[in-house]
Amino acid sequence: MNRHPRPGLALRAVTGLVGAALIGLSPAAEAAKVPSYAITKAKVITVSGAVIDNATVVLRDGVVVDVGPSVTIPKDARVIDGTGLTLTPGLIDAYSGAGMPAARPAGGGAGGGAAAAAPAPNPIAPASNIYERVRAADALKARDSGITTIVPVPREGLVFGAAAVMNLVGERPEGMVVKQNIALAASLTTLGQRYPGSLMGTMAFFRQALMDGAYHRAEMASYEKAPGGRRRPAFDPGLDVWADVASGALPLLLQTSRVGDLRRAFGLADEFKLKVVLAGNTQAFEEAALLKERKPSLLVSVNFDPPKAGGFFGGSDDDKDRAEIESAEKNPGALHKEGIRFALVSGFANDFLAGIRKAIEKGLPKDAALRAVTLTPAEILGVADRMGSIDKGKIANVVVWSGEPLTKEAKIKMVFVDGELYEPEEKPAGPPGGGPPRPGEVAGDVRAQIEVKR
Amino acid sequence: MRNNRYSALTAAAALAFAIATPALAADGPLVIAGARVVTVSGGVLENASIIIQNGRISSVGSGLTAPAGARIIDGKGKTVYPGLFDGLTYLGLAEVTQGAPGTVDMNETGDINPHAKAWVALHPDSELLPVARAFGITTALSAPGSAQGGQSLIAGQSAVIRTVGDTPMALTVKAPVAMHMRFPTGAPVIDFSQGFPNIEPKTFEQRVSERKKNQEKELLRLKGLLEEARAYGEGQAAGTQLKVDLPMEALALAAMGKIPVVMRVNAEADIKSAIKFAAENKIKLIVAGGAEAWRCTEELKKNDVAVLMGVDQLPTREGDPYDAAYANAATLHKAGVRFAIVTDDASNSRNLPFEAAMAHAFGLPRDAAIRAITLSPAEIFGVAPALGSIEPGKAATLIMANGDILDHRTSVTSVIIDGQETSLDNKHQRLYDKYKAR
Amino acid sequence: MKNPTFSKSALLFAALLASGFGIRAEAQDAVTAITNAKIMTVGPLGTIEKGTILIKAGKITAVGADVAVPPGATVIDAAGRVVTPGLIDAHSHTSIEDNVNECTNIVTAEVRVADVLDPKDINLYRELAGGLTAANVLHGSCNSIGGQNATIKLRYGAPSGDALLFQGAPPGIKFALGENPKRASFGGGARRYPATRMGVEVSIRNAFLEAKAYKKEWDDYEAAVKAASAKRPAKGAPAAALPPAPRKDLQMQALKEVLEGKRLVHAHSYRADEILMLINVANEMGFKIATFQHVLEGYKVATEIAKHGAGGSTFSDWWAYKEEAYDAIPYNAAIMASHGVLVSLNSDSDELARRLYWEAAKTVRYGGVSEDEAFKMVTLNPAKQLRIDKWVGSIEVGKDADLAIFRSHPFAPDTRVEMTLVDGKVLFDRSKDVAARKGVAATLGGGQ
Repeated sequence: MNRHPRPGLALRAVTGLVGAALIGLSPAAEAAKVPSYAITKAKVITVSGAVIDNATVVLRDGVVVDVGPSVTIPKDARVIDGTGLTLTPGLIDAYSGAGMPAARPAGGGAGGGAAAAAPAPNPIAPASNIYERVRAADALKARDSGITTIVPVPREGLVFGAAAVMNLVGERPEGMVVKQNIALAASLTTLGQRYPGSLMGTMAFFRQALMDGAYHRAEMASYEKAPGGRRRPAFDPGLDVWADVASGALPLLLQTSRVGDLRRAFGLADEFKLKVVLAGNTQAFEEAALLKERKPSLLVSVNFDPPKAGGFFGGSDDDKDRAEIESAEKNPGALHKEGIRFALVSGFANDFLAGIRKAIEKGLPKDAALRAVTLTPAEILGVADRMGSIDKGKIANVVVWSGEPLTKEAKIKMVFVDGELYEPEEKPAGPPGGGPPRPGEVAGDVRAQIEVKR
Repeated sequence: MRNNRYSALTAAAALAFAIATPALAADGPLVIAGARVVTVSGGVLENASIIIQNGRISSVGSGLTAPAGARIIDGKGKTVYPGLFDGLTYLGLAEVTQGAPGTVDMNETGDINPHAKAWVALHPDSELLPVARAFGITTALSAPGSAQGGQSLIAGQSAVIRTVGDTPMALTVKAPVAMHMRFPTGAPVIDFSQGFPNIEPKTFEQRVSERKKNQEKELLRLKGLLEEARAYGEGQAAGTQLKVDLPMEALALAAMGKIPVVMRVNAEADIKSAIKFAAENKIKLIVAGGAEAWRCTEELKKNDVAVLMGVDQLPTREGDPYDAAYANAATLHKAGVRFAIVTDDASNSRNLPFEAAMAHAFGLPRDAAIRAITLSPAEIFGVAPALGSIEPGKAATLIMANGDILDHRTSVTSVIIDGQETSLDNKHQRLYDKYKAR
Repeated sequence: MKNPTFSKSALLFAALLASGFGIRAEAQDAVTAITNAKIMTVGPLGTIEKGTILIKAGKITAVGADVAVPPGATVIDAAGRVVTPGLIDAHSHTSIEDNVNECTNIVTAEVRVADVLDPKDINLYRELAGGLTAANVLHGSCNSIGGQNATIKLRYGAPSGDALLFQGAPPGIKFALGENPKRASFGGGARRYPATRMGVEVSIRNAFLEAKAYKKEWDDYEAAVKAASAKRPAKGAPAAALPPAPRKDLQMQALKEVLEGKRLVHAHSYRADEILMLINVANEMGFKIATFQHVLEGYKVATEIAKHGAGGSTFSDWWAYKEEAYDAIPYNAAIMASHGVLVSLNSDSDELARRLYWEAAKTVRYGGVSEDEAFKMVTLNPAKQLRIDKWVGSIEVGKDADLAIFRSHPFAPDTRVEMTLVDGKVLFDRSKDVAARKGVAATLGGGQ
């Protein structure tokens, strides 16, 4: 598909044509059209092993078929001279807003004078599939940042549904799915005017949901054993999902934004014997000792200055806000120094690369940063057997850089996803289009705070 | 037309800086005998007497002769102070602030209300007045634009009131006293009475830059209004201004420096901008709030800006010392900045001496603490010739207590306003009497 | 507390002590001695004009005028100062992360303040600086039956919210009557049930009728399980089939605990009518109210409150800030106390919580309460109301070393807290706080 979008009408026409041409083709059929590539004389950072200078990487049928200093180049392969270029595994953003609709403003508009907000999608949707909500064309823009794989997460809501690992390729979300239902994604957030409207309520909600899931499972099983003479229990796909989480069969991918959320999540995990993956954690270094002890699956956001609906009481504490941003920027470096394993994620930040660079600038070694956006997330997501490094047999997700990867000077020349070549357009400065600019870090319902507590 | 004439009258009053004569016909001569007298302006006199005639203090000291027919109040074991002066309240302007909007008259709608005048809306039978009075508050600045929900950029004009009187005029000691404004911080101003609005989440960088932009815009607007008002006032003085414009007529008082401008402002950067703005626009600034005034002592001192401050507050920044608000007054005192301690409240006005006590506990000398709730506000509002200390010639507005007025255990036993001993009866006492033995 | 992480917190707290948050680690057998102090014990020993307190392993081991300081003890010389029990705030929302209210339902008994405590909330430190050492952290007053409280010690800087929890304190729950649950005085928004005091009564009765049914369901189930296990089946015969367990409902569970007398009810209330209403509902449903909170018209029905056995936790003098506070009088505490109600003075505010000692002093002025009784209203009485007086509230041997050291008598107009100890650890030391100030902060108070 190697198309170079150009602004204007022509683009739409081209897209329309290509889209139409692909309708009805299975992913396999699409893949079949992908040519083979051999990138030669390049520096290859495999991440899993050594850095190989002057190496060749062969991509074919969507996989890395060979990598090394002396490999045979297949005859049908298109040869790309990689002199002066560096190859890394495709970046994995394991908590991404790419392809997800923008969040609505905070508050609830109960009687407010502001324009009515768009109706929200169901904020509690355990039985839904997140991948179905992905707008493929928007999501694909993340390739401009060298991202080949995402775990998309809605920017608002409480229980998002089944999370999927998706490769940024193709036209339709289902075709992008590498692995479906890796976890139930949810957030330790609040829903403002709707239950739960407080963090206390959110904790109670999760507890009750997990208990109800387990209860539902037991009830169903008991009915199956002896259905005669008993009222049929109601089918509830949502409770079924909670039952899977409660039994430990399905991990809970939980957004933990506050420092205290770590302990809250561990508390739930201990109480219900859950497997948890924790996403957000921009101040997690404060709990370094705890993290060393618990060794959780940790996704650390580079969204250092998330939007908040604050400051309207006139009493904003700029010192505090500034300090929080600075400590969030130092967080990845500090965690690394403590030997804590984590993946870096965009966490809805507009510019993932800028966030990674900031983390490097504030103390995260470059090689650690690269691992934190390739192999480590692949391991955490349970897909390290197929991606996360440039190794023979792995999915052909590869980024070709000029200049040193993840530095400000680096340019992304080519991005291979499932072996398919995408060449980002040379752009003037500014964040690449990583999706709409309103991350989901809304400040919850502040209504209660303005009420006299007396 | 009626409004018009009234405005003209008040403007004239402002020019004359007249202090209203006692509202009540004075009793015959009154003598407080043998008390400890904290004069505020002239030290503490032990076993002294105060002679009161025609509503004024005629003499203070020992060895005085009581005038013929004088009523004697025994001051033995008691301490006399000038009446307490709460330099920022909405006494008389609101009864029940939340949930009873019909009783609330302190915040006009709209943004520009220089022509709103506190003294026309004072409620003489507010239950809050006798309660404040019974605990020693004889005098207060009653001002529009309270901290509780005041949204106006320009809220209106304040009056110095006495806490006894049958009509708004009888309550009023001096008006207008000051123009009350909110210093624009650039932060969004939201009227929560209309429900909770949708607020778009923004990054810190966005919030800071938008605040700055809004502030510049609002200050430019305020500057424009002041310039317009000054031109209006000059035109009026020259007789060339024929058409009456109520807001401009009122704002001209402030723009031409005839009355000071009380600006609500708390953050360090905002206080400094307010000082700069006042200097540039030739207005006489008084800072209300001043939570971070301790960070701006140099600027405040240099520009002789007075501060009306509360004490019992939390620090504004997480990183500030825990006692930042408590020690704010002591910091200003040490730096020579003029200030008064105020409650910025109405029902809690009686706690004024306790706020002064907290300032005292955190470094403000005792006499300065008492001055901050008596003579200092009188000076700041230009009524010191008549109020704020116990001196011959001043109004006989004073209180007697059975102990240290800064001590929470002390009770006020007499309240004399303009030479009249006032009743200490109040709603709380009545309910106490009714229910204490039920 | 049903929170399973709770049992862990003892461990966590031990770790916290070892890590020496606050000041420094001390061996368990280290002794701290506070000497030369005027000691207001608020206990049987009354006020000791000049005495010594010994502290070991977080507990008070000796108090008196003639207590010898063992060699090697860390000595805090409190000459000229006044040592009191740490103050206790029976109504606080301090250190709650995110919303204080779960406002979306009429009954939210399932939510727990203990889930959302932030041990790094700077207000905990600021409150320590006012001599406060324990607080009843309550859910807000948005609904007729709110969430579960957390009784905490102000262990500022502790490693977790759990480490703030007061070990052994019985669990409680917030109720609210009047304007707040009926949302009367809040602008905008749709009217939510209840919108009247009538509706508040209905919502509480209804919740307890449900809770009684829930309790019966569980009681029956547990009885059946017990009966089944008692019936020993004949050898080889299958075990008796157990009935299916009822669904566990966290909301109903909390109310069941109220009915069982295991969970204390703290009822936000203002007017006399609603106070009587709740007493009647409680009597009908068979539960007790531990405290009426605010209870600003408690003085009108003090006899009835005393008869029910409820405590009253009130403001010293706030009034007229809303319609239902228009009849509030500062003599409330005095009248309730004189009628036999156990009275405390609370803050409901992170700011006021820093000067509760002066709130108590006002009660001497308003209604002539004795100084000793007045000071109890911020120490022993709230401890009793929260059922933690076994450990705190007075200076007695065996009690926790939760102490405040004042510059002068806590009611004096120049007083301030110089040092505060929790579990024998100095968590606030004014001299160190002042010495650590830098830059413009060092000029505060005129460099006093």
